[in-house]
Amino acid sequence: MTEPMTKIDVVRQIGDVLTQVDTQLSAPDFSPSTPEWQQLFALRKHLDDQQRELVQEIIQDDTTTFQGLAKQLSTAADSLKKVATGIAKIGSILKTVSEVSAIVDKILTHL
Amino acid sequence: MKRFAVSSRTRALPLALFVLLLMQFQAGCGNEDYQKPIKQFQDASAVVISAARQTLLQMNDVEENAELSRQIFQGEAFDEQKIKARDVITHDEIAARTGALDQLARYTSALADLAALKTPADVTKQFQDVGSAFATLAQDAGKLSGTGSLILDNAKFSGAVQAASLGIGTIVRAIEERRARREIEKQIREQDAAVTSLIGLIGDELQAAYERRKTADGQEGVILKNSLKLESEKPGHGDPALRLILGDRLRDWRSHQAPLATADPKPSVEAMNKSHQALVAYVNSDKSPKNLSELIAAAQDFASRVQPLGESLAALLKG
Repeated sequence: MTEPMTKIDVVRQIGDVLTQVDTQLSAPDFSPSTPEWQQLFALRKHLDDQQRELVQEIIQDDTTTFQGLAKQLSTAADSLKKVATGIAKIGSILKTVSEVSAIVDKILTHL
Repeated sequence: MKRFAVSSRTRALPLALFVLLLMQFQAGCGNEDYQKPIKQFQDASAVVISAARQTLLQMNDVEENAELSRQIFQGEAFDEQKIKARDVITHDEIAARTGALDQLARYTSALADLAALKTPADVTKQFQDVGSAFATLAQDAGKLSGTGSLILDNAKFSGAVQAASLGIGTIVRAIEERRARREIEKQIREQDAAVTSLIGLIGDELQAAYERRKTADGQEGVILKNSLKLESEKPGHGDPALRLILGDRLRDWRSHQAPLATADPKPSVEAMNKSHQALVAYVNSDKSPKNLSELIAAAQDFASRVQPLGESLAALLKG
């Protein structure tokens, strides 16, 4: 039986995803002149804004809807950890970070 | 028969003296045994309160600096309004949170004195002071609940302070009315959920503030490293003076990564809550040795958790 997730758990999970994104953006062979870098940086800014918004949002986090979305977020964040870092995997990284962001959007709009 | 009676008295006297000495010894031990965890609790609480104040005070700077760095990096025009719009917390909101932690620590100290075999009458003033400070805090927090905060749930905080204030008020009345010790201890136990809930809420708010700091700091690292990359990609690796300036800022950024990693105040606030709960259990247990050991362990854990937090905060302030 796992503990129910809270708003703060989600805030922390977004923070973990941001840390991984930062590692990727800082990779020596990933140039900020490339469109992929710009795309990932734009996603980073969006996730940053979402985390900030989530912190200030008054959210009922003991509902089934919140718990379901929080679990989806956990799964997406875990899959990002499994995607190997490196430019070759940038497509998968962009896709997974977009998924994370879409789930956070749902948390922010549906609750 | 008379001889027996005399003999009985002569034997009873040393026994009575022994019992009296034993009682004094036990009372003394109780005081000394629990003095150490209480001192640890008070010292550790002071670090937590200072950490909370520092974490909350820097929130606006963290958000503003992150926005400024982003504008510069992305080549946008400098926009003071956009930067100021990132402010997330007011002075009154900070004062209410740190004030609540301060009073919570004082309340626990008053409980400790009650546990130190003092009579409720001896601690009346302490409880009255904490009670009236909480009543003032509840009024101040009530004023905040009407203002929309950008990052904190003032209505929830105000509700938690009101509940704790009412609970502590009930205990103060029981002490003022000189009710039986058992009755006072029962009130302390019954009202404690409101107190621990307030400590928990402040812990959550502090963790949210810490997460925002980490996010802003992460962005700063990305911007510095990539500014350096962009400069190095230029013909002849760009301007060496600019590379050196960026390198210096990157060095500063790297030097505070280790202290930042251990500057999360939440685990220390959780340990503070556990110590407080252990003290309430001790007060309600006729000062049983088992509860005293649990109190000592909880206070020790609190002190151990707070030590790296204090070191991190000192290092971050120096940086």
